[in-house]
Amino acid sequence: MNRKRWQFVALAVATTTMAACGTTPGSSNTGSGKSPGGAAKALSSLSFAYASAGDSVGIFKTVGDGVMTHGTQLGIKVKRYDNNLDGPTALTNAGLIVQSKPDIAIDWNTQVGVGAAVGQQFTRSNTPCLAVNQQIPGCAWLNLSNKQMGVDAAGVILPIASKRGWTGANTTVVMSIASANGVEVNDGPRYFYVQTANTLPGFVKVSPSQITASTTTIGGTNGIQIDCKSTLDGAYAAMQNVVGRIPKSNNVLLYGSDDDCTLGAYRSLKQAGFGNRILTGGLGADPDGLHLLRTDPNWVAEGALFFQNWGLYALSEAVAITQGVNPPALTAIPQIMLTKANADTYYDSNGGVKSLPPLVASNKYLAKYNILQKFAKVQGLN
Amino acid sequence: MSSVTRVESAASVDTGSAPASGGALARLAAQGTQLLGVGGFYLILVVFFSIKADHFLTTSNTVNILSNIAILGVVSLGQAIVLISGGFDLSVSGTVPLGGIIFVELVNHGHGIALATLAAVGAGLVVGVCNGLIVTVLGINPLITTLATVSITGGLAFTVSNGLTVTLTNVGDAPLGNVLWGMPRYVWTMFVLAIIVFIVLRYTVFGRMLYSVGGNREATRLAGVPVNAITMAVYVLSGILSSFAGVMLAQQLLAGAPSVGSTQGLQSITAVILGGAALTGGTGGIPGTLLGVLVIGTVSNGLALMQVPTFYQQIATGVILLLAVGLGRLRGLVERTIWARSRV
Repeated sequence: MNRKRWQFVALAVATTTMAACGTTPGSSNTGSGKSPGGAAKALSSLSFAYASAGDSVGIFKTVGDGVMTHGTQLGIKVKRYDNNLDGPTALTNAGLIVQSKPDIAIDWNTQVGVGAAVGQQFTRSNTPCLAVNQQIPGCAWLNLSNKQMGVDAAGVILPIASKRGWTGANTTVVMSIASANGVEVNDGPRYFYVQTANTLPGFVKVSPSQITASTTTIGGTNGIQIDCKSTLDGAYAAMQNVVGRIPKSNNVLLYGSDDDCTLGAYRSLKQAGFGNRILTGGLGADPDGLHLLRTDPNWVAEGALFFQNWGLYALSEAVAITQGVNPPALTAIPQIMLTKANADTYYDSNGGVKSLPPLVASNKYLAKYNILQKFAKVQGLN
Repeated sequence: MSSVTRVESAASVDTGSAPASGGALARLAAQGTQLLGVGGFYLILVVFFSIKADHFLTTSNTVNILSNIAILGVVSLGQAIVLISGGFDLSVSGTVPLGGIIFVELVNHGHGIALATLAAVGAGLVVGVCNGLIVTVLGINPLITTLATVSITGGLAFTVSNGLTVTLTNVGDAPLGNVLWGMPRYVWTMFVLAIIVFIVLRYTVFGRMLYSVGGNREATRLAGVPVNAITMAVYVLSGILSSFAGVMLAQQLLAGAPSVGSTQGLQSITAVILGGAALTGGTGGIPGTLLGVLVIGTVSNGLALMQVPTFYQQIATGVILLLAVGLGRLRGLVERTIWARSRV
């Protein structure tokens, strides 16, 4: 009995150590290791399952269409599921995916609460899995960094504010967040405030963890947080409700967790008479965000996430996993902060992607599978 | 006219006012208890927020509240008509974004504002006709019918816009967003529409028929009133008003998005019920509905100004709405008691 227990402990330690080595960002194995006996498989012999976040939403549909189209062109058999923005549906789909025994499940589940249950379905059946955007325990993870977006937006917006003499004494930072979507999704606005407080004089300094979904105000009128509820009209209504708290002579720095959250609040601020005393940036590079970046003098930054190409990165990472690669804990999706000066480098006037930013440390290994180069123009690769 | 006379004798008609033959005491009681109801509750809210929330009792904040409720106000006018007739219209949650998207897409493609508005309203009309036909001809419950059509109209809005927010390329295409006498024109539009609907409900044959259909559909039918035509008209009006609300919203936001307005269905029902209507039909009115919309908008504004965190705001909003409905019911109870005593 004792021997069995020790065998079990030894096995658990060995497994944990191997997993830790394979999933620690920046570890030497990252993106290069192969599992024992992981001989490279021909793409035409692979079958993938792709569960879309919700095909009723254009962005999610775009990503799903990319996975299907490019997957088929590569000769991979891809079966599509629709999680319909719903936890129970995601769980049901996970069961269906497991039954169909794919080489890998690519799952985009928007409901954080059921992530563990979805992950359990895959791990129990030894189905390799790749989580897109929202983390699923037990699965590799492909995602953007919202924190970096907030920092990068501050990097573009704050120098302009500084030149104009904006300080904590005459400026309010508005954070437009979608509180129900969890902490990570709202990292952009809160890191934007933290960067502002560290860069411009006169702002109350707080740590990122001090800004939560319950935060409404920081330092009187230094920071105001509103809940946009992920919609354009929600952001407008929330801003309308508190716009009276901002002194009429103040300048406003606005940053939201996506383009709709920013745009709704921006409309309200403009109507309240803040005019050209607003500096803002969006996130998502939606057509409306790109349009405003190119035409509106107050809209000076736009976080580009290249949704059209997420499918390529997901397919590349999925192929890597089926070839035995242990991917890093988080493989980065291409992202860059657009400015008025560089917008045309990355997007054409119709919102089409012209080129993608260079690969970074956490996604460099994807180049090996020649999928990105085949379908997109990635800087430094083609 | 004779049919109307017969209607009034066949079915109980309650337009929210005091009984005509109740005498001075009953009328006085009704007015007094009205103050104890939602109207009184609204006054208490205003006093409370004026004390507790900085910047609440200012002209600019009043305009903010009215701007915020204008869209819900117009949607609620249509919802009030439907609820008074004994129906339900959840499809407004899909018709609002659909109307907005159609308007923005058309003006962005060079069509005139009038044509774009007509097309958007036309889409709402079609939705209303579909709802009306399904409810009257197929006899499917309005709740189920409009649950289905909200899915269809919402899906259409996503399809037309490909799921994306579409900004108005020319700000001049949003004349309702311009300020007139200190308030955006869409706020005035809400008031004008409210007056029109109020007049229709209170002073026209159609309005009386509507209350009658909601009060007792079968008795009204036996009295010779074309109840199916009235029902059809009710859903058409709701469709038109909600799609026009979508046009207003697009001009307010200078953009159309398929995800906007998703809460309008339940919020408008809440507003109408707060205003004194019953889910069973036959009661309610426009002043009460506007009061209900004002309560919703004021609670949201006041709590935000008091810096109540968003999750607590949801709880507080629910409690406040329950209190408002409770006081409204208390008003009804007092009215009935005084009315009964006055008859003894």
